[in-house]
Amino acid sequence: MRILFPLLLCAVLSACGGGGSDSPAPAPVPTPVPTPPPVAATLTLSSPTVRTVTGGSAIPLTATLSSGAAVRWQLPAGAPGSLSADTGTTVRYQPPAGALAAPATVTVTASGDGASASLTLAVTPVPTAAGVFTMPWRTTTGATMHVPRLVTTDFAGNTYVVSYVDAAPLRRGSANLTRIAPDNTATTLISDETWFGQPVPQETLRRLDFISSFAADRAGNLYFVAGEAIAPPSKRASNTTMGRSS
Amino acid sequence: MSTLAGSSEPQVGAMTDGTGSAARFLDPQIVDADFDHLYVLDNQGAAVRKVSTAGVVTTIQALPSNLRADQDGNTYAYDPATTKLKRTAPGGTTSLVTNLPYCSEVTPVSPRSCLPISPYQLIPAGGATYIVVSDGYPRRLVLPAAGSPPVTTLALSSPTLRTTAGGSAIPLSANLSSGGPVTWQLADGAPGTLSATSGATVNYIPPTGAIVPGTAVNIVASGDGVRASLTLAITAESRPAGVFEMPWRNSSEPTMHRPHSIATDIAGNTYVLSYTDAAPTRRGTPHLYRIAPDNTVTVLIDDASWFGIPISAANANDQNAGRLAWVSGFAADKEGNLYFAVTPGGIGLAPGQPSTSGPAILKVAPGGGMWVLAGSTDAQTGALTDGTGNVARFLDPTIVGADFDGNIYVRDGDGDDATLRKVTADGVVSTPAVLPKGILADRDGANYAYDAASTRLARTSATGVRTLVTNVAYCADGTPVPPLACLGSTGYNLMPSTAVSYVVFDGVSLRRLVLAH
Repeated sequence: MRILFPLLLCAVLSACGGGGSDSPAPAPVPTPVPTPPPVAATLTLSSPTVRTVTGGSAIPLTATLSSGAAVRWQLPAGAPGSLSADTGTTVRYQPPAGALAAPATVTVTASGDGASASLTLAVTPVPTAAGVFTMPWRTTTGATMHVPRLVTTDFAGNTYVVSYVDAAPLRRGSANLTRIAPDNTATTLISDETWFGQPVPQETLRRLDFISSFAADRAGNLYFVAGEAIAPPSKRASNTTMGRSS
Repeated sequence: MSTLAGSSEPQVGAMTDGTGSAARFLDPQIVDADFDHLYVLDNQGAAVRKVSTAGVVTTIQALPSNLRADQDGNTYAYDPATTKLKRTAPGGTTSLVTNLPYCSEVTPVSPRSCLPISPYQLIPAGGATYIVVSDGYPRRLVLPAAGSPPVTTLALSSPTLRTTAGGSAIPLSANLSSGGPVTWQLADGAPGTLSATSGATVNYIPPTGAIVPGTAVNIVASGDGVRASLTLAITAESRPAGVFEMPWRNSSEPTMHRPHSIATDIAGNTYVLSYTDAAPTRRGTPHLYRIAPDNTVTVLIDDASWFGIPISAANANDQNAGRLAWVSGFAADKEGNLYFAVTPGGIGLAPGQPSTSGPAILKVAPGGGMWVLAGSTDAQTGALTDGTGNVARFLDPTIVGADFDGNIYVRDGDGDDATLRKVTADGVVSTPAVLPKGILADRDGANYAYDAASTRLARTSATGVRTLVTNVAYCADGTPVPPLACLGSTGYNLMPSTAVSYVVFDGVSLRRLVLAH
């Protein structure tokens, strides 16, 4: 309308005359109104949490479809749990009540008006008891001088600990990485002697000398932030990257 | 390993969305992740970036609020005002999680099974499980199940567990997590009195008249639906103050043996475990002696008998004796049961270490019956796991003491890395924050230890004041000769015998130290 309105005003003034000339004004040529391009509907999903346990309470899932059209929901075939409905703005994901062979992720897909979005939830077994429990953070790798520095988790309840030699930050040695399973079984993934069960690629190992944070995805990949921080604008050499180790 | 996003090549600092090496970061920190994306704070927290597992980087308005929520949408954070865990419900209502164990010390020596009372990081680990990271060290927090009633806990403490008839009153403290009123009660027929029947702190006043030595006094406290009990002992000491040599075996016993470790019980008996004095890896089966307060020695285990039963392959007592070949500390309860910490080959396990056997706490009944109370001697992978019976796992346990309620306290691991474990009479293993102060204390709540710097005995009072003990006899020579009526100048351990006496064990000989009383 902001474009169309000035064009209509001009046409009315011309039809009223007022030009001071006796010659008839030429008939106005209608300006074609441009047809707006089709706007694709957008669909966003939300939930108050992305984690639940077997037998846990249902997770409400909310869809916001920009066109206001109906939303359809779907679980992948064979996925644990169920949905409270196939359609609607809000449905509930009900986790399975019985035992689960292993922690699982469930990708819930919603679609409507040509748009589609998905949300992944994690379902884990119910812990045996509430409380606070000590955990190992290393195995018997001989790295007794190490101290834990960074911790992350994955959807299956594994915990990953990066440790370095307990020395000044700029003099620390290479990183060790340990995975601690929910039953506290610790496995060395990276040490001075091993790299995920393979000989250590020294050049690659050195890239983890100064990692500042890391995370895991559901496929078992690990992501590390490595390198120095840089300030804009700067032309100094930098190596701020996100590496993936899979 | 490959680069997912950003570049390690020389570049001009910028925050640029894009895919893979086309994206640019300034100071990225991964702060959250769902199952397909990483969430990154960049430019010192000024920007929120979302990175897909395919390397597509976009700048978003804010971090998703649901990534750190439990299965009910609650989020949690350390509350500095109360040092408790604060829960924020999906509607924004906040509450404190009070039904969890909180550490009593600001900086625990090593991770404990309690929540720190200093700031920590919480990382979601599925459902209601979080990893609590304090000073880099992880511990696992499992929140109470949704809808479960609040768990109220009641813990009792006292500076000592031992007193004497006519002795001073023992203060008893109750910590009821709900903050409700506490009611106290003496067991029916128990000697002595309580100063009050309610209150957070009361005093137990022992009887003044004669009483059977080793009488147990059970005191029960209750409040808000929970109850807890604490057992004190009224002991007697017939000797005057001084240092007295103790026998640890009969004169007819084999001389190749030497004492290895000792334990005491509520009645003033001392138990001595001995092995052949040979190289550690060649030691034979153990002998076990009980020395009564009057120094009468009774053989409980030797090469021929096992608690009065001849050892034979038929009754499997030869195997039982073999199971005690590698004991690292033992204790006795008031019923006469004995508890032994054993490790395969005398060597503890490290976390994750595979082993064909494992450490355990063995229980031996007064009649000689033996079984595994906690831990497992089967093949296992080294772990430090709380639980009941054979679910629990130890790494390198050493029994350090026992109370009179049937609980054994174990130091698990080496040196500063050792973790305190508690084993109940039912085999329930937990990881308490601290050793109860009264376990090894005299009737005044004081604890004693050899002081290497002065080669004297050091006393730490109930209020923490440390002094050297001057009113005992110290040996003048470096290698004292019998009758050993003085404390030596080499290191020794002390195990409380009565409320005013200790058994002093230096690895070779035993002495009885009777304090002024």
